[in-house]
Amino acid sequence: MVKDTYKILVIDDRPDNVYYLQSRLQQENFFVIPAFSGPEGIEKAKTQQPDLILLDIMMPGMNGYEVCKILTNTEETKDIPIILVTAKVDSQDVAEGLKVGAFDYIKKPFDKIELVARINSALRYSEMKKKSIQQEKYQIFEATVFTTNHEIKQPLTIMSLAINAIKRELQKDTIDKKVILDKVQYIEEGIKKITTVLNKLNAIKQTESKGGYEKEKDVKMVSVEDLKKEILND
Amino acid sequence: MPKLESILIIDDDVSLTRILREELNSVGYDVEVINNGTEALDRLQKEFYDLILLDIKMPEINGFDILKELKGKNYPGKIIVMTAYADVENTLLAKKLGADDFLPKPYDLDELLITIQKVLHS
Repeated sequence: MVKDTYKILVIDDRPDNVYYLQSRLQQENFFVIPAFSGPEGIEKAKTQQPDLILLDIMMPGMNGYEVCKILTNTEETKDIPIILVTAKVDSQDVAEGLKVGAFDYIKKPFDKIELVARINSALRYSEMKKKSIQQEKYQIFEATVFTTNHEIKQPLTIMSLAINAIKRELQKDTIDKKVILDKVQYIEEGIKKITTVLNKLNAIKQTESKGGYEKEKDVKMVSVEDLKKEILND
Repeated sequence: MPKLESILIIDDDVSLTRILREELNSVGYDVEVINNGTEALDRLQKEFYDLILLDIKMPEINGFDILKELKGKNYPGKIIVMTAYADVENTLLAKKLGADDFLPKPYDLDELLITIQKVLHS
């Protein structure tokens, strides 16, 4: 496990269940956030970003399935693993829970060892998922830096040579405007190329800030090594 | 009048090769350009240049393969590799394959001229 203390949100309408889970989980060094209804749980999940949610299915008003569906479809909470807590376990319940996006389920009355084991397993899965997302983001970043490096350095070289040519022309007694304009065009083209590259980078940044990891059409998910091979073999 | 030193630029970027040719002409080199690696290898079987400015990233055949081919045939001219992918790995590879020098992009005319003179007169 990566953190010292994990935050677990317990959503259950019955205070005695919440109390039991709270005292049991605190013994295991978890920090428990209690919520006594579906809407309260959803709100706390969004604002307090727990590492895991224990969600009771049978609640008045909004039941656990509905809460689970909302949490897994909400941007801020969709990556938090949910363990459903159910009194009756039949295959239909399990199927229904998994269909709405739960990671696992546990039946009441709780077996203390099983409860902690299932929580730890969900947390490990969540950590692995986070790491893989981070890795994916880093790979996109690395590949982007590698390609944009080239796409910017090339026009920069041309612009530098064009500036040199303009300076040389300006030192002459008779300045040829055509020569200057021709070189200015190189600089304008360079600016356009660099702007296009920066816009592409910005598009990636915007995609990420929306919370998605979708790739831009022209940004491939490859490692730098693969990219190098591709460049050298194209 | 002494014969001008000849330079062949091999790079697929038309804008870069155009301005590079103009700049090197202006300081007195005899410059030719080829924007395609395969064509460049054909030309080099018939013509000799004192210096080749060679880009790495090109379609069909990349700069390293051209370098390998030329050095394999003991091409007597000097070769400078120019690239935007100037990491340690590529620099070492260029040296290992026999490049006389390695010029990372972006460069300005002064840097280019210093490298050219160093290589041609070493």
